[in-house]
Amino acid sequence: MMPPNRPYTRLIEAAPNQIAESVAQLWHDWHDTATPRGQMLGAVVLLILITLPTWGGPPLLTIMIAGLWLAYVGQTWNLLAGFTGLFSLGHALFTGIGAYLAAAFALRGGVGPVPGIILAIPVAALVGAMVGGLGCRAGFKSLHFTIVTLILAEGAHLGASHLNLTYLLRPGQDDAGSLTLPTPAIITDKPLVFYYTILALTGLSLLVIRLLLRSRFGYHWLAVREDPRAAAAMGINLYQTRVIASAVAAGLAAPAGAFLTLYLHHADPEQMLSLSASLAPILGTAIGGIGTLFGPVVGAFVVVTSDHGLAWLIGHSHHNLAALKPLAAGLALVLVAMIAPHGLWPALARRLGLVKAPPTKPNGD
Amino acid sequence: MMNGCLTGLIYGLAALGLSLIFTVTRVINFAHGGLMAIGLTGASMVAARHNFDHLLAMPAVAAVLFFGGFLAYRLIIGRIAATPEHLRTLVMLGLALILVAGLMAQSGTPAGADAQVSRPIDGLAFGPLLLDRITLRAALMAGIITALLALFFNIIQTGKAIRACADSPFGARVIGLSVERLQAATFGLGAAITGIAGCLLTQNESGRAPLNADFLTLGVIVALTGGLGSVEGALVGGMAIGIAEALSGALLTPPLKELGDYAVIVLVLIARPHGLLGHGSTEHSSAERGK
Repeated sequence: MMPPNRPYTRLIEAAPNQIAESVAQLWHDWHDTATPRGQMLGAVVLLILITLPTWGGPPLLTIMIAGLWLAYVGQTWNLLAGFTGLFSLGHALFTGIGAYLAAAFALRGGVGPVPGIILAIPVAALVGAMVGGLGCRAGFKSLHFTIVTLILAEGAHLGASHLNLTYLLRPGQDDAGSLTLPTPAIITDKPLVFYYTILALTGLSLLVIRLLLRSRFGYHWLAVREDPRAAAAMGINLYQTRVIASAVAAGLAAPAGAFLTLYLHHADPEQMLSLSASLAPILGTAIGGIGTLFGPVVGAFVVVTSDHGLAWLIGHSHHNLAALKPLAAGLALVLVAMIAPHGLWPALARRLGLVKAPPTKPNGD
Repeated sequence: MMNGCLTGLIYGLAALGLSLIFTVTRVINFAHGGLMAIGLTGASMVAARHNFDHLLAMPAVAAVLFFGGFLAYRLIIGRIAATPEHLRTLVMLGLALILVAGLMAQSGTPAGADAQVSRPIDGLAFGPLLLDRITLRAALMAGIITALLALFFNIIQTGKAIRACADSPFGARVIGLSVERLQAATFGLGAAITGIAGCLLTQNESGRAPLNADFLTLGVIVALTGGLGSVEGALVGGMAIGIAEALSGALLTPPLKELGDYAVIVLVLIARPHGLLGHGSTEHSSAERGK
């Protein structure tokens, strides 16, 4: 793992320096890649996002929270699929761990959900490592990983619905694994707080992932994605690299689940652990651009906006149009893969002249 | 236990459809669950309208699915065969969602939820064994179809050609086979087999309201248990999962019976990552075959 000449104490001593260095690096990156126009736009978007609650109404805030949430989850999924080449179909497992741990602590811990959220990160990372460990055994095929994540997440889904976690937390109540939290589930219940929390989380995840990609791990991930054989020839341990990526993505994904549970005061297997929960970030990221930093963010807002539009249409129609949602999602996936395999963001950024060099090369050869 | 074996035959057939498509075209058919649900609803609809038995409706359903699969491959999947793997996965997921939408529009409920057939429990005693007549019939059908497929792939010219495509698409092209058409045909064949398995399962699982994801994961679990891309593996995996399901249903409470599947697959993944009958290929050789 760690080379012996880099013990942890030195890491901790060097932490302030490290942080200053990281900030400087991010700042340089920003200047190196974004054109003046891109920088202007970035600043304007940031300003709009920060001031949004002062002029936007509650419906807008709801959409923004949903969009930012999906952007965050998409980021963590993208870390695996876009940057390491591991297409996971079980991301809901990782967010679900966060959701259920936060709910469990909120209901039973007597200390509020926050320790649950903190605990969820290492637990999810551990589970992520195990999933990665099972999915990336010798003779690795990326489809194998996809299937294994699908199976394990579905197993957890089924287990959560049947094993009645609820029973442990609230004896006598049998409602197929769903937990309802008291309101407010956390100190406060204002959408404003949730908005700024998820905004900070999403922004932070962008920075952290950017830094990770510039770290030793990140370069290993990209190398493994681009050409596993060449990476192995360079002395990169493929298995270890993949397992670490899986663990990191899982750990990052866990707070998202906790956030959603606290926001909705509710956790149930269908919403938190089902296959459709895993598909949501995939759809957003695929539309925005797999393997790009801002793709998941752009895609998430496209998905959430069209989702709201469709929901309005379904609600206002006399016919039963519930099938429209999966139809639209399915068509979007097929069209993206066939027409715009790199997603919206790279094309958009180029067209509008926002970046100097082409953005991170999308997945593939 | 015996019933588990028989159900396992049907599971095996379903996994065979998945496995066949994977071996020849190198995509995981995520629409697997949707296809099974179509087989299930389609057969009961046709049977209800014309008032005859399910099994008679099966060839019609299979034919429709074959041509549907053939066209889908020709029009969509075949065009992206050369693209990176994650795009193929995306397309398959998209197609699966479109199928789900179709099923939802047809039934007005989440796919396949209302496709149940009521039937009396019909025991058949073989000495000490008590078998369910309908399960037995469905399993026999599954066995016959599997045997026919084995014959097809080992004796008939087209079947051999498909195997050649699976072994080496490049080699197959060199000797003058139309790889694209054969792959499309295989995709259709796999779809039809999956649909048939869906039909057979209706007869068997009357009380269950199967959702797409259940069928998909079931198929994937069975295929992976046996070893992805191996025909015998699909059958062995089907048996193993069928028996595990029956046992965990009997020993634990019935709702937990599917959890037995997951226990088996996790054990198999730990002990034999390539499945019970799968042969290990290294990353390098699989990378070559994938491209």
